[in-house]
Amino acid sequence: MTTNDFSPGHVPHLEPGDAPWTDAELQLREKLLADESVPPASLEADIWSAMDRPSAPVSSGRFVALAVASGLAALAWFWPADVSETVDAKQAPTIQEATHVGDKMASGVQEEATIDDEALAPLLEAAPEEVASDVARSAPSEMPDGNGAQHDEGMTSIQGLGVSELKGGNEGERFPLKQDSTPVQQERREATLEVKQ
Amino acid sequence: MDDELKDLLERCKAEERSAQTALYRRFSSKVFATALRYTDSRDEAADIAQESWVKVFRHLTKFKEFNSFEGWVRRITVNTAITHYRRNLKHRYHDDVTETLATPLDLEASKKADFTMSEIHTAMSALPKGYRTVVQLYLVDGYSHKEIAEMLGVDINTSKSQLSRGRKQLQSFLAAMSQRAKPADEAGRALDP
Repeated sequence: MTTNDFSPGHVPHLEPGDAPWTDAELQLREKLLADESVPPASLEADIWSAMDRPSAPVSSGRFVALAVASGLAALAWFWPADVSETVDAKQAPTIQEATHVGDKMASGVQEEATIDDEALAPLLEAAPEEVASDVARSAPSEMPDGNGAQHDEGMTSIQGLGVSELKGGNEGERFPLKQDSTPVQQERREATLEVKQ
Repeated sequence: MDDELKDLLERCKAEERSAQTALYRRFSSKVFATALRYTDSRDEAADIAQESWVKVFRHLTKFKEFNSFEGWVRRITVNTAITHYRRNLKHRYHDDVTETLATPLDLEASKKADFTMSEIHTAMSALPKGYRTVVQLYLVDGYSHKEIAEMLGVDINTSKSQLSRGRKQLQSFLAAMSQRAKPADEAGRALDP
């Protein structure tokens, strides 16, 4: 903004095609530039109180904004890595052994649950014993004997379905599902599952 | 720049309150008049003037002595006023503009007229706010269309068209004033012995 010229003789430059300044306009300019108006008496005191008020320098404000922004950027950059590490190390579910619910129901065996989440452990430990005994009372005793075995048998039948029974399915034919007389030997292995984000 | 002002500025740079008071009292009426040109209320003009003076004192070290101090203070005041204007623009409705053009005869009459400050203020305040701002920035404070476009956040052509329309309206207001003043002058002359 260095083009301003407030000298009395100066006339602002006009664009080509503009009508020249009239005498009235130039008179208006001169008078407005020389105009004075007495400000309210309170203004002076207001200025000094505004001057005395401590104001945070702009540079420190910028510094704080920059620090916050870079902190957020760093957090956003490292956040996914932290989560995956946590999941891999601590929270990855591990299937140790396939168990049949029916077996346990039938035998009434109660096993202690292993709690992987360390944060939840103290809460569960603090649970009243009444709750645990209620759970133990309700689950196995209300299940009639033999249901577990039947359920187990059904599972075995489906799992042991011979591959040959599915032949022709691709050609639109329908074959009744038959139960194999000799169920296929099942092999149970330990499996691990990794969850990656 | 006179020696007294130079000395005053040096003491102001050293944050001497008595010098700051003296500087304020020397230029306060000019600053307030500039602020008043860009607003309709004295309260807002006082706010603009206060902000401007705080800026003047805080940035006084940036002032170069070979420039006009009054011009430097005026630029700060105008920039502060424009910041207020843009802030208020969000809450203002569009001005309806009725164009009335002065005839060549009116313009001829306005040439000879000697307008009072009151008439000039009346003519300026009769302009729609947008036209008035551009006319003042260009005609009075000497900003270019490019600078006005940047300050107001508008296109350069908008600045040009607002100036052109504003000037036409201003000319017709001033011409009408000079026409009204004429019969009064003639009547006054007739009464003179």
